[in-house]
Amino acid sequence: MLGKLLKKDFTATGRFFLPLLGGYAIAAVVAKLLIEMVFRSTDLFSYDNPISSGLTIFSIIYFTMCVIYLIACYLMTTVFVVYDFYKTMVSSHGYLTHTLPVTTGMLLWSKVLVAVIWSLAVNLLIGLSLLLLFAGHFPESGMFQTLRDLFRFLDVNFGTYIFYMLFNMIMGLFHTPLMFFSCIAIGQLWREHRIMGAILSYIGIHTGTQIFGTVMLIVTGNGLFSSPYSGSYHGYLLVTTIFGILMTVLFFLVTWYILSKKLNLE
Amino acid sequence: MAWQFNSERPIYTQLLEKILFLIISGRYPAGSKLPSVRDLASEASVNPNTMQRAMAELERSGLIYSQRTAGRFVTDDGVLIQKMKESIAREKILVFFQEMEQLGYSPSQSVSLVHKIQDSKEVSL
Amino acid sequence: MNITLEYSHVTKTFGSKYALHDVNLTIEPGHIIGLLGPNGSGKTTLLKLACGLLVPTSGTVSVCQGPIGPHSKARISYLPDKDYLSDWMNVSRVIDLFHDFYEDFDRNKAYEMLNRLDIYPKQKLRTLSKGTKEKVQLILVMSRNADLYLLDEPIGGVDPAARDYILQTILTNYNEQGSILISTHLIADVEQVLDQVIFLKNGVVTLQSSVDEIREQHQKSVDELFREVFQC
Repeated sequence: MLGKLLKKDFTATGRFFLPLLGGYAIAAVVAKLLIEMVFRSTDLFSYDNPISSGLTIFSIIYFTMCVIYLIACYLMTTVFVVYDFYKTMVSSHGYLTHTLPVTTGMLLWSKVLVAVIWSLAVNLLIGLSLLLLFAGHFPESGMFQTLRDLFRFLDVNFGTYIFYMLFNMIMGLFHTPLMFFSCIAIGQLWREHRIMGAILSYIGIHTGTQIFGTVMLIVTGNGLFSSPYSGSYHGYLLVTTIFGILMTVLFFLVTWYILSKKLNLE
Repeated sequence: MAWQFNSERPIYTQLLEKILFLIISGRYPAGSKLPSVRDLASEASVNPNTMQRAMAELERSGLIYSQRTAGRFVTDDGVLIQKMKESIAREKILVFFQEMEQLGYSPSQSVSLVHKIQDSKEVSL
Repeated sequence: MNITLEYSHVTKTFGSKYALHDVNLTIEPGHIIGLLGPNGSGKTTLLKLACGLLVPTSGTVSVCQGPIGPHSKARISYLPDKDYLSDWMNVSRVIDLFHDFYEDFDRNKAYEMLNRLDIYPKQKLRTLSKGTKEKVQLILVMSRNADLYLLDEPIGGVDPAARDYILQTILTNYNEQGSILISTHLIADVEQVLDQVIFLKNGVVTLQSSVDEIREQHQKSVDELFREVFQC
């Protein structure tokens, strides 16, 4: 049944994501062609040549738009995922979703997995597009050496940092959609103005998380006014990661509990 | 087309009368197979249970009988059907006389009126 | 004894307002039952509780002697009074969806009915009129071989010709071992297809009886009795 749900959810979200990702891929390939043309033209002609300066101006505009598109990709990923969840789980389409012969847990897992896979796809595509863009133009200087020095200063092992970063990235794939899902679910507890309820719970959860993060930064001695040598950045990473895991699990449980035990579709 | 029912009496008795009428009028002749309850119910747009009840009632009267697997049939007994037909005709005529009496015609006056109308109808035809 | 649907001391409140109050009902297999009451009497709430779209405030609802859950949902075919299908899908995709999830869904039956109504399987739902969309939903629901059909106002907003078609579709396609619960306030139109009725008044069940019993006892149709009971 989970397979059938995934099929249903992928087809429903695919009609948003495929054009979005397809468009981005095309834009990235064009960007690569453009950047190579700019390099070639400045090689062939002088910088103040009208052809190369025209190309340069055009490519600056184009790249600015690409960056906007890139940011939009991230934003729209969340928007699409949240929209689909809202539409199929708690609006009138929920009448179909919740009368399918499946458990609420399965419905939720399908939504989460679809969200994770799409945002993974977006991240991969963006990563690939950057690689494509810089291919053949990587600086040969000791970029990694500089980074390593920075981490030594922060008292974190480079490998450890990479581990935390990757782990948090993967967790974030689950954390972000689940946070929105749980807000929508909490909104359902209101009798009226359920969207408003969802927005308020989002503001509440977001503020709470921020406060916790700041408090932890200070407690672990990484506060704004504390000496950088006194703190343990590693401790901070550990605490926030554990907090993130707990919150993700909590979001899942809250959403599951409300949708299975407190469901009251309007 | 859905059958029409009046609102004072149970639907099954009205169904029973209609099927009875279909049998004596020859739409379902003696010895013929009747449609299934489900088909009859959907033809009449009525509940199958109600149709079932009407059929059971007709079975009790002996006008139809059911064979375990083959379904329901109209009785082969033409005399019984004829008797039913006559008793319904009799009832209708009694009702007619009753209504005519309210208009001030005695039964014999009514009969001659019937003849008169029939004759003039034949002329005009 | 088999019981298809059972409500036991079910109360449902929305805030401080009672939608249903201490409802006790038992529905057995093989009946077509009218759930009758004026607007706002709790008909939709009663049906949604059986589908698991609402949870009771107190009391229990059971389907085929089991709790509400995936098993009960596999046995219930529900027609809501809402447009609950995604607009961007075409008709055949919705049929595939139902076929995927409901084991008792008869795809051929669905296509036959569509064909009879001249509805094109490749048409997007968005392009269909409201009435046609409602017919598609009815076709989906009646193409299942369910134990319990819950139909919420199936003849609500349609013209008389469509009304006959809908009742005909219900009668010819339902699983005879199952039961149908039809909620409506248009009693005269459905009376003859019902064999039992339930009167719901302000969230309280005031009568559960057979149609012919009512006619025998009161010498009037259910419609007339209803008008009397619910007189304003």
